[in-house]
Amino acid sequence: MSGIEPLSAAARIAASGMAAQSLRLRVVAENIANAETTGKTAGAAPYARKTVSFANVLEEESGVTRVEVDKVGRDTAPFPLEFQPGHPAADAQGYVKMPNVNMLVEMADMREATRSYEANLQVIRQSRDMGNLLVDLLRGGS
Amino acid sequence: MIEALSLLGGVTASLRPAAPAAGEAPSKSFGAVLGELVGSVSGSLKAGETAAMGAVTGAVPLQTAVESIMQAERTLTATIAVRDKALAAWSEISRMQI
Repeated sequence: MSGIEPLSAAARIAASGMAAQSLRLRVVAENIANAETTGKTAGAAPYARKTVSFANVLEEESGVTRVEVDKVGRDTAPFPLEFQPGHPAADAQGYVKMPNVNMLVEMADMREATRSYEANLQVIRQSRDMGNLLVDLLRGGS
Repeated sequence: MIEALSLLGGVTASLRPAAPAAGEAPSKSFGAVLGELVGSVSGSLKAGETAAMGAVTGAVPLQTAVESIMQAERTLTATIAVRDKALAAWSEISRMQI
């Protein structure tokens, strides 16, 4: 638990959380941008929704437990079919496989990423304020 | 109060590094302490600068860079506060009525 000053550790951990949430937002952006991306050939699979999972990482030298993006996986949910006979990716029956991206889920995910980012930012702000309070004690009040 | 004054006496003794240590030897000279502080600040500032450069090129996440720079800033303000305190004590002694 020791090794590094607690306020600095808090700021560093929160920064890792913010980095992780940024990556999550990036994945959400990819999902939203590719919400209509179909395959190129007949019956080909479209864009599969990407998912993010986090993992805690122990920093040996400082003893702090940060968060990191564990892996960016693929959603294995079935692709919805859409009837578009003229589409290049349409199968023999005229159905096109559409990406399994749900806009509502992506929006909720994005909102969650923002909230978590804000929470981590608040931790950094608080750690800075607490450090400043202590230094102010030394500085002011003669 | 008395304790603080005796502590100041230690500081004034250490302010004259050329003088031979009579009685109890000061563990560290005032200059050495300040030098150590400045060294830690410059190391912290250097780390912040490196992180800032890394953030510009994209090698370091922006959050990490901001965190490093804030760390450097905090070390700097803390050191300046300590230095001001020490200098205030020093000028207090120099103004002392004898």
